[in-house]
Amino acid sequence: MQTDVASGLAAVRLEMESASRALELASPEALAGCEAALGRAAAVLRQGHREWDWKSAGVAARAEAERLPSVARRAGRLLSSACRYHEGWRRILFSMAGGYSARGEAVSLPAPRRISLEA
Amino acid sequence: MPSLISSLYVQAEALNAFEQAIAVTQANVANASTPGYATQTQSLEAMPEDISRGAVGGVETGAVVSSRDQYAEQAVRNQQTALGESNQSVDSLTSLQSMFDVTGTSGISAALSSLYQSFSAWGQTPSDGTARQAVLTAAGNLATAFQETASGLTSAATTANGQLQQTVQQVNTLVGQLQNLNSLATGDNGNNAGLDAQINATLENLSQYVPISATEQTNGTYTVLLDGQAPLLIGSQQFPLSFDLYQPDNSTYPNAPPLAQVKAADCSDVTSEINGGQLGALVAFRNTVLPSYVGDGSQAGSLNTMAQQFADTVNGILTSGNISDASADGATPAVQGVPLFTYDTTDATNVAASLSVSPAITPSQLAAIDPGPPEVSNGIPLALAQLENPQSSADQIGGESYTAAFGDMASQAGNLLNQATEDQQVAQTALTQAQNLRQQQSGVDLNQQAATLVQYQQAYQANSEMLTVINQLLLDTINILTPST
Repeated sequence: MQTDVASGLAAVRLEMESASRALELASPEALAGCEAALGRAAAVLRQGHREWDWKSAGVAARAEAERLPSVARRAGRLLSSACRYHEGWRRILFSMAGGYSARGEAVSLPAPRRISLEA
Repeated sequence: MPSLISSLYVQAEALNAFEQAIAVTQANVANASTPGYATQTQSLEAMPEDISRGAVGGVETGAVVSSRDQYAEQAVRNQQTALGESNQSVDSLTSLQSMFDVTGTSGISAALSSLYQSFSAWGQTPSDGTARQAVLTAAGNLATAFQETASGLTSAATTANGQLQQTVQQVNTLVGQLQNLNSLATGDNGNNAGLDAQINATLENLSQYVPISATEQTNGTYTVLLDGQAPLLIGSQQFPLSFDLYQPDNSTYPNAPPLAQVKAADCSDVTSEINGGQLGALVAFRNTVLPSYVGDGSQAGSLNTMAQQFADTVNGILTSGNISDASADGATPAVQGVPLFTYDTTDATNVAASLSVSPAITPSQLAAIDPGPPEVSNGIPLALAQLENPQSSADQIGGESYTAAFGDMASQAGNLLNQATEDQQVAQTALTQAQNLRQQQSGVDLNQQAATLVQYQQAYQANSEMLTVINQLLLDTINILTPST
């Protein structure tokens, strides 16, 4: 039995929204979950292109399709902001601790001899 | 082997260090629920062990280091600025969109449609007084619709001016609070976690209104700059902003609505530095969005341009016609048509607001006769009715009908609002993300963080590639669903 296009696209949207929620947390574990959700969304779409009954796609399917780019843009923007944050911090951290290379790039952080107490 | 004295020295220093660490921990517990408070960490640095030089190893007390990393704080503030901007944009653009009804039930769109219908009805019965009166009434309604829209936009500008004034005052008030906190911080040399929390909470609040960069100085005070440039606060000195309206020099339209201007304490214009926050959104709405409709010193504005071109086109068609023919013996000449619309011809930015039906015109003065050749008794109303679907570029505005041009104006407002609404949703989530990132970073040591950053880089790369694949698949999906024409 062929999957209804609207339902299929709704499933893709739910995976994308789940990816956005993971990006909101932006912990390493959440980012792994984000990648998995995006992977599932891509797999559903790929399979859908081959197997869904596109000829019977109606207003509901089009409405779902119109929502998807905005959901994808949201995930993209959250990915960018988190990536920008960590890249900026990586540069600052590495240049503070390790200095700059001859090419002006932050060099890798050497293991500092430091212990710290955390509250 | 270290001597006994050296060993004691190591133990004493270590004890001193741990005492301070415990004090910091207590402060953390006490302030755990304070808004804007970040965990303080006592950093203990290993001392080199080199007995030959008297270095005895162990640990020494570093300065009490705030783990509230400036970078994370600035990232949160940046997202506050983005959220403040999108919130204000949604608010301003919602009021703007309400002035552009494209459903055809009210406003310019409905009035245009009624006027075209009255032209068409007049063309059916060119001598009928009722049909002629209906044309005058519909023309009056269209003029009123232009006036009301212009008035609504002017009112929106006035509201925005008031909001700009209030926002500038709010910025000055918050910077004033920071000035007081800076004075307190100077006495504490930046070691008061509660004060630090107050400063950061105030900086976050401030960043909703304007883009700022804040740097903690060695004495614990904060220097606050407007988008990294104009100073707002340095130590105990505040540099207040002010709001003004101005007309740029050498304006093409010197009587156009003035623009908003934000000035620094030295009276220099810093409007261009306010590219975000609530103030930035207000400046953009006031100086970019509204002028695109009602004009400014360098442009007439699309509403005025449309009003003027429509009035000129209708007047041109009517004055090319005749109210009555010349007498057969030539003794009485033909009576030429008169213009229907009048407007302020001295100010291109005041056309929509001043558009009206000529007070002198009567129904009998509407010219119906196209003198030709060949002469057509209802040629003028037919030509006027044709404006609804114009074939000639002379009867179009920007290559389209007046109805379509108005639709473009309305959709411009609608698109801006849609974009702002999407930005608002993303900004809210991105703020939560930045707060989460700050929280995760707080209290993590550098070794751990360096390792995690490598993990992040790999995760971003993978997610980015996945998102690229999805975007292509979505594009294909939309293409499949879009019927080919």
